Order: sequence, then C-alpha cells, then structure tokens
Amino acid sequence: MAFATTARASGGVRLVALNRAAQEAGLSRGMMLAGAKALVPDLIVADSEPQREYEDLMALARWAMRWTPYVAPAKHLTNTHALFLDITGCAHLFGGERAMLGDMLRRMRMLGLTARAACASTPGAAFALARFAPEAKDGLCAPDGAALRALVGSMPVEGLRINEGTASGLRALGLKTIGALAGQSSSALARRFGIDLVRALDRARGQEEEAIDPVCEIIPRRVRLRLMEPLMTRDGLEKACGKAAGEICTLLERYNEGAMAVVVNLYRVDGVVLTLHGGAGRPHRDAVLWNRVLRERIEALANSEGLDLGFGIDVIEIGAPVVEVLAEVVADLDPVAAAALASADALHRLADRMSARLGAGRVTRLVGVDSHVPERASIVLPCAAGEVAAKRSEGGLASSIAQAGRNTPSVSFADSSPVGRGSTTSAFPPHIAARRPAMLMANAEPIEAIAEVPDGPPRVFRWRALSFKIACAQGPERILCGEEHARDYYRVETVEGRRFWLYRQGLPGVVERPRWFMQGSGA
Amino acid sequence: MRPELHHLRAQVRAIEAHARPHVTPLATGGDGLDDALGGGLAIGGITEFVPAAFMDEPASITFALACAATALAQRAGDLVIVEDGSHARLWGHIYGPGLQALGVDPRRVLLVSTPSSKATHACLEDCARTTGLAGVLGFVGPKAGFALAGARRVQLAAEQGGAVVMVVASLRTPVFAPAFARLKIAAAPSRGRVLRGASLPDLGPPVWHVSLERARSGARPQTFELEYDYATHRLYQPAPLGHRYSDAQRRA
Repeated sequence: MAFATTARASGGVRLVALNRAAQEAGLSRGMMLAGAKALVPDLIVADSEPQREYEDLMALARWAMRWTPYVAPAKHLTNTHALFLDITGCAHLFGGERAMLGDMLRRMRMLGLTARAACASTPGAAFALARFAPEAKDGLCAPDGAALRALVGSMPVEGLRINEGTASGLRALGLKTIGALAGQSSSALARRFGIDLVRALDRARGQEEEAIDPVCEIIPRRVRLRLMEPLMTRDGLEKACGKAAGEICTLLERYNEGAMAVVVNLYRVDGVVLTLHGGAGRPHRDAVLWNRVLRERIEALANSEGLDLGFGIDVIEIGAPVVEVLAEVVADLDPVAAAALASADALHRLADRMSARLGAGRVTRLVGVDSHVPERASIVLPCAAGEVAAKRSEGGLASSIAQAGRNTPSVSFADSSPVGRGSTTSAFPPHIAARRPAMLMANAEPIEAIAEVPDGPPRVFRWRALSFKIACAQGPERILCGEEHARDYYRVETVEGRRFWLYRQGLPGVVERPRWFMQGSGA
Repeated sequence: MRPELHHLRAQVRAIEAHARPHVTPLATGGDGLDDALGGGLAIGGITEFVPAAFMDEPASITFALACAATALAQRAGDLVIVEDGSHARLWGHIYGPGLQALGVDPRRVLLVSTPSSKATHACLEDCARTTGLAGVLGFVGPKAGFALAGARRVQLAAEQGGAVVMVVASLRTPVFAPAFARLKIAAAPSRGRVLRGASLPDLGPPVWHVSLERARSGARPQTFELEYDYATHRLYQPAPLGHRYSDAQRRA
C-alpha cells in the first residue's frame, strides 16, 4: 500500500517521505501531492510531523550509543534523517568496521527501518557515501586518502549537506558531482553560493576537521556489559545490575574515586533504552551498596510505571557521572572517632537506601538561604545526588555533572558528623530564628481578625471556621517581601496556649482594610 | 492468686529482662515526668505523643520537637524526621529557623517524606534499626493508622538498634499499641510578661499539659505541666510558685 507524508512547501502541498510501495509506483520526494494522487489514486497521505520525527531520531541516537558513546543526529537538514557515529576505537569490539556496519544494518532492519551505512575518515564523506553510494545498502567501508576523494568526487552535490536551493543552483550551472565542484575555484564558489558551500566541500573531501556533538555527555567512568542472551526477567536484571555495580566499583578503585551517582542504561533489543539513576549522599565505591540502591530503583520502577523489558535487554551500560577522589581515612586508632565514623556511615547508608526507595526528592536536608522572605529562607535539598539533576537534562547517561555538582555540595554530611562538629555558627541567624514558628505554611491562609488598636496585634481572629481569643502577643516584626505592602508579623498565643504566627498586610490608614493572614503554627 | 500464675509471671519477666538489656532512659528534664516514665524517654523503644484536641496538634509537634532537642543534646548523631505529609498539609511544613529556635540544629536533621502509610512504617523501621542516630521522629497522620504488626516491627527494630523513636500521632490515629509510653499533649497558657504600654502581654516560655496515659513502667496516669526554655533548650517542670499571675491579673 503506497503511503507518503506531506508538507506545505513552495507551490503547494508536496510529498516529504514515501514508503517503498510508493517509490515503486513511480512517486518521488518533492512531488506535488496533486500529481502524486493522479499517478497513484489510492495513495495514503498523512501530515509530516518534523518535531516527532526529530524526537524519534534522538531516541534512535540514544539507542545507537550501544556501538559508541559519540552519537549525533545530523543537524540543520530538513527531511533528512541521519546519525553520525564516531567509532574511533570501538570497531574492534564488534569484529572490525565491516562487521560493525553489518551489525548496525541488521539491528536497524530488525526495528523495521531502512538504513544505509558508510564508514569513512570524515563525517562529511561518510554522509555523502551513505546517501548516494550504491554499496551503502550493505554497509560501505571507504578507503582513505586519494581513493576516498575520488569516491566522494563521484557522488552528487546533494551529498554535501547543503540546502535544496544551493543544490539546484549548482545543478543549473552543470555542477552535478562533488568532483566537478572541487575543480572550481573556491573563492568563486564562495562569492556565488556563500562560504558554507566551500566549507561543506572541504569537509566532504577531508580537508577540514569536523567534530560531532554527541547527544549525551560522555562519562569517562563507565563500563558496559554485553550479554550473550537478552535478559527477560527482573531477577536476571537484578543480578546483572549487581555485576555491573561490581565492575564500576572495580574501575573506580583504579582511580581511587568514589561515585556520588550512577546511571545504568539498559539497551532493549527493540530499540528502547531504559535508564536507572542511583544517588548517594557522599562518594563511595561500595559495590554492595550500589547494588542495593539499584535494586531499590528497579523495585520503584516496577511499582510506578512497570518494568517493561520488551524482548529483552542485551547491553547494560553503567556509568558514574559524578565522581570524587576519596580521601584516605584512618579511624581505627581512636575508638571514639571510629564509632562516630561508623554511625555516620550507617546514616549515609540509611539515607541512600531511602532515597533509592522513595526518590531522591523525598529524603532531604534543611538548608538556609539568605533571604528575609520567610517562606524562602529555608529550603530542602535532596541528600543523594543524581536523579533530580538527571531529570532536568534528558540525557540518560549524561545526567549532567555540573548540575548534580551544583545541587549537592551544601547538603554534605560533613558538617553533621557527630564529632568534629566544630563550627559554632548556626544554620540560620539566631536572632531571626528565635521569632519563627516550627511549622510554616507555604501559602498563608487569609483570616478575619479584629485588633484593639488599628496598628496593634489582633485580639480575636477566625481561622478555618473557628474563633480564637488572643492572650499574649509579640510583635510586630515588619518584613518587606517585595509585595505592595509590608507584612507585620505577630507571634500570638490564644487563651488556651496555642501559638500561631500571623501577619497583617497593609497598615490601617494606608489601605482601607488591612488583611490578615495565618502563616505558621507552633510559634 | 494461684502460685503457678506467679511462677509464670516471674518466668515471663525473666525472659523479657533477658531480651532487653537495661539502658538508662533519656531524661527529658521534667522531673515528675521522668520519674513516672522510669527515668525518661525510652531508649530502644517508642514514645507516642497524641494531641488532646485537634487544635493541640501543633502543640504536640512542638513538644515532640522539644524532646528531640533534648535527645540531640544528649546523644551523638542526627535526627531523622519521617512524615507522611498529613501534618504538613494542616499546619505547615517543618521550618528550619523554627527548629533552630527550639534547639534542633537543622543541619542535624534528615527529613523524609513518605508517600504512603506503608512506606512510613518501612522507613520508621529502617531508621529505628540504624545505629548511631540521636533520634527518630515520626509524624503519623490520621489515615496512616499504624497496623499493629507494623508498629510491633518498629518496636522490635528500635530494641535492636537502641533508637529513641518518637511518634507524633494525629487525633484520629489508632493507638500505637507497643509504645513504651503514651503522652497526651495539650497546649497551656504561658506566663506572659506584662509590658508597659503594650495592649497584650508578651509571650512567655511555652507550656504544655502532658498527661501520661499509659506507660510500660506501670506508672499511674497523671498530668504534668512542663515549660521549655528557649535559651538553654531545656524542658523543665516549673515550680508551683505563689507569685504567678492569676488569669484575672493577666487579662487586666
């Protein structure tokens, strides 16, 4: 059944992509839809969705990281879907370049994709060959040097990653192949078509270096396990994760580093990558602990979205995006210090376990912020690194180091170890803390209050349909919160002894009716 | 009573005493309360705080935090606060400066918020089993009723880890059966200082009426009045002096 996607282009609706049946029926890309319908009346048509196509390509790029960590989709090209893989130093793991290309094509075909692959010494040459060389259907390993230039020279100019206008302009001048173009003076080409064409030409012929921009940040500390048979069960997955944790800890030991976070990418056979994030409150390389954290994450995943292993997992990749050099600790000499260290260690393990089970955002430490707005003065930060930072950057393995690093240092347990807690400064300024309630509502609730004198504390107030009579009050404490009117805070105690923290917004005389709010209890 | 029964009781007592090595409890500072509890809050056991009325919930939380402050002062390690969010929805989130004012160093607090009552049980149990914590404070909401089995597991874990577990229940939380002691907390009017020119007296130190409802030590139910000193972070039982303000004086 012939099928095509269309988009509005110059002159009307044109075909953007076609399936094989449509191609065999004589249709081609860029054809007007009306003409195509005349040729193939039962053509099925759908709107092209570039955004979703791009998302799919990114997903495919992530999955292609099973071959090499350096994967990037081709950019700035409309209706062209290509992936660049830098396989430097990776090909021998798959039995050489030819075998690797064969493996790629086979796996892409298994996903139902039509793929062409070429391997060359520059991305530009590889692109041109993969697009237009007939051998690329089965994977083409191009030669180097002059032979490569000759081979690329025979390719059409569309292989240069240039826009369609430039390509048709070149064709109009009779410059149909890259070789013909290379014969021209580059200054003339630059004058006529812009410098981009010259650069594209140089890149294709290997005369200009080109770096690819990988979809995911490259993590230096990582290990991959290639499995003989795809993993289908959760039990097997837990075992494999345990093994992966052991491998990464062995790797970290070589560098005397500890990981603050680990990321596990599970490559499914059917082109989906599952990611597990584990975090810790301090760097360590204890394989048993990491194994337990990963187990909790698997459990959490199974409980929330369900653990869908599809047709199995054949590659497991574990990386430590955030690492720190571990300081040597000698604690055995002093029994008190040893005991303190052991209990601090127990607390770390507890926090890591609970973070893994509940999610990093649920196990937190209170941190003071230099702000006089009460609701902003105290924030909570997660204990464990990893997940929160990783969620922000959708990069899988690339759970951005910088962000994770920025997130965690202030929640270090170092201050809170029971001995050596030498710092006498407190988390919050004491003179301010003394006037604050134990519990604070993020959103103050409006109350109705009656004050004896207009600018004094209230005598009676109603809150949540109950009335309270005030016996004692302390205040006002005026705080400017960036709103139209300052807040006058009072700590009050009702005749029963219940304590609240409430404020008046707007002074009588300045505003018609000052408004009262309840913001805290247990003042 | 039949002699066999006496014998059986003695046996049970011997087993329990053997299983549970005697640990000096954690003195709160309120002398009468400590005496009734057999020395203070149980180490290796659960102490339960319940509010006397709905509006006393904040008071029960601040009292529990005051107890946690004494635990932090006397024991090394951190305080873990496990909450299921129901208290936070009603009364507000735990606020760092306020904790510091009560003597609970915010840097020594680990906050854990759990999504469900089952997770609350599991976390409390996990914390109770962890050695080297100054204390574990759980806020258990009305819906997260402690199943007996879950509570028992927490108790066993606390015995194992020698933890000080304090559970703040809400008014409608079912009884936490295996607790060592159950304290009913009500806010009480403080001794406000009358300031010249001010329309209302200033706040005095906070006061709670603490009723011991039941205790494993076998103490009879009784009520204590406890005050908290913000400067020294100590709970104490104010002396029944004759020079206090009467209510009539306060209102005048």
